[in-house]
Order: sequence, then structure tokens, then C-alpha cells
Amino acid sequence: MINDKMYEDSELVSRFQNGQEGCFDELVRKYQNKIYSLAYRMVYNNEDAWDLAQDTFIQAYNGLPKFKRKSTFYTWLYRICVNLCINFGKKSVRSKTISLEDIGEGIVMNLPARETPEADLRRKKLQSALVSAISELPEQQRAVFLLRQYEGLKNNEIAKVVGCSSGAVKAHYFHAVRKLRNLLQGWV
Amino acid sequence: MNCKEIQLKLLEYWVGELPDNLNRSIENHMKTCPICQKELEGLKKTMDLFSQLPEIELEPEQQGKFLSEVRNKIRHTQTRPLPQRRMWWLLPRLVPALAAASILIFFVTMKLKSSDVKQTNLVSKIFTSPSLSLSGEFVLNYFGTNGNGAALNEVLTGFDSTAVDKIEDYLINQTEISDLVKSLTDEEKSQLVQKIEKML
Repeated sequence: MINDKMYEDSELVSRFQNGQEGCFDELVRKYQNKIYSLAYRMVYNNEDAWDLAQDTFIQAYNGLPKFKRKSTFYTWLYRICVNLCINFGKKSVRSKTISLEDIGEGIVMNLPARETPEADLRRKKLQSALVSAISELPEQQRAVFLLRQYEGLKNNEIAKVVGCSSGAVKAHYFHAVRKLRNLLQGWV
Repeated sequence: MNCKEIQLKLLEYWVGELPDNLNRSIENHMKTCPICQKELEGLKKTMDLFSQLPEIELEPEQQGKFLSEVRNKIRHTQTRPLPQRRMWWLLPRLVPALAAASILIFFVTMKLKSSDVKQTNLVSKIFTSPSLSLSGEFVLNYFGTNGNGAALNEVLTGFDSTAVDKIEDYLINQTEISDLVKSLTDEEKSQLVQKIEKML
């Protein structure tokens, strides 16, 4: 599956580098949801995530002619996105506190078909606590946690995305989980 | 292994990243240790919570317009200059940075021309100096402003290392240069400096 994905990406990148502009559109369609999802989880704001996801593809478009396949296309794309989100986080003065209203704003959610108002409120409070806890993580730990937890990347892939060794990825993940566990003690 | 050592390995144990012999040691320990059993249970419950965060996708309407907006922005950035108002707004912020960069470049260029110090040593000194943020930026500025960008690229092309990956990332992805330089290990810096020296 992964090999098929990599082969297709590699083919599309080659064709784009040889002048077939439409292949870039294919890559955007293929990864727009994943990149938006990652950006959203990094910044938890619909508009910012939209802009960051778009900027990711614009930088990819500008960088693709020089792309030398030292990593796979999608890890390279994730890397651009993570760098943009981290830089955005450093410049942003937005509060880290996540309100209940922020959760689910502008996103598609898989909700149970029937839920009592109490259960709905509890679920929203839990989600708010989870998001706030993730927001408390330092940027690199947050990126490692999200890439592993929600994007399913392996340690060596995450290492390429965040620019550190696989050992450092393991350490980041370990510290992230330990911190999250402390922050969420009331829910366990 | 004692409880402290076991608990440091529990996460890797749970996600299946430990070798078989360590897995067996932990399993044997867990059979008789309620403290570590509780620790593992807490870990599992914490991680299970995160599966309750919703899936995130662009809404169908957003999916439809995402690509067209990206394409518009690409066209916009390629063909239209920044609005006048924004340029005026940015100018006061850029003046000190541009002035500092100009003075630095002028100073070092003059020094290169007038002293016996080899360029190689100077670049090496600059690149490895303690004020990494400034020096890293300066090295890249130096190559850029002296028309050596292409040569640097050529050197980097044949030089397979994480340091080069990071430099390329800076050039392509605009990673913050201070972060980039700080992230290089001493060995990576010294390898890169050697390559740059050969180029000069």
C-alpha cells in the first residue's frame, strides 16, 4: 500500500518536474485533507489551518523543481507543513486555551447517532481537555505526537519530518505521552 | 529490571517496539507487580482517550475550492507585486535588518580583500562561532550575495548528510535559520565547513 503510494507520488513528481502542471493538482487533491488535518491539529483554528495548508502546497509547488527525493514526497510535504505551523506558533500570540466552541468548528465529526445532552456535554468537555492538553506540549513534541497518533507515521518517517533522529523521536513521544497523562489525570 | 526501569519502557512495550527478550521480562514482572500493572492500565486509558477526538477533514464545499485557491495564490505570488500599502508597512521593520546585513557584508568583504586570513578560515570561524543565529544567517547571506549560491548548491548536491538536508530545507521550506543552525551537531557543522572550504 505504502509502496503504491510512494510509486504514484514519485511518478507524479517526475511528471511535474518534466512540465506536466496537472500532476501538481493531483498531488494537492491527494493530500489536501491530510495536510489540513495536521495543520488543524497543530493550531486548532479553522482559518489558520486553511491558510497554513494552502501555504504548504504553495511552498511545495515552489520547491518541487529542486526536490531530489532524499525523502518521500509525503514526508517532505508533512515537513513543510510542520515547519510552517511551528513558525506560525512562535509568531502567534493567540491564547492556548481552547473553548468548547472551538472544538468541531468547521470540521467533519463522526458523532454517535443519538446522544443525550449530558453525554454530548461530557464528550465536548473531554475533547476540549484533550485539545488543551495537546496544545500544552512544546511544538516539536506536539508534532511528533500528532504524526504518530493521527497520521500513523513510523519513527523513521517522523524523524525526517521533524528533522531529528529516530531516537529523538522516541524520546519526544515518550515525554509527550507522559506530560499528557499528567494533564489528563482527572479523565483517566 | 526494577519497577522504575519497567515503567520507563512501558510505552514502548505497549506500542510493540521492544525486542522479544525485553517484552518477556516486562510480562514476567507484570504478573507479580500491581504497581506496574496499574501504571500500564493508566497509560492505556490515557491513550484511549485520544481516539475520542473527531476525525478532521475539509468540508465537501472546502474540498472543492481548496485547489483553485492554491492555484490562485500561486498565480498571484508569481505575477503580482506586494501591494504598496503593505510594502510601506513593512519598510520600517526591514530597515534595521537590511542596514545590519549590509554593514556585515561590507565589513567581511573588505576584510577578505585586505587581510591574509583565508576565506576558508573565516567562513569556518563564522560558521562555528558561538553566536549561531547570526553566523548561520550570515554564511547563507555570504554565499547568496557573492554569487556563490549556485556553487554552494552544486557542493550540496553531491554531499549526502543530514546537515545538507537541513540546509536544503532552509532554502526550500524557509525553516527559521537560527533553528536550523542550532539543530546542527558539531560533527555536521564541521563536515559542512570542510565542504565549504573545499569549494572556496
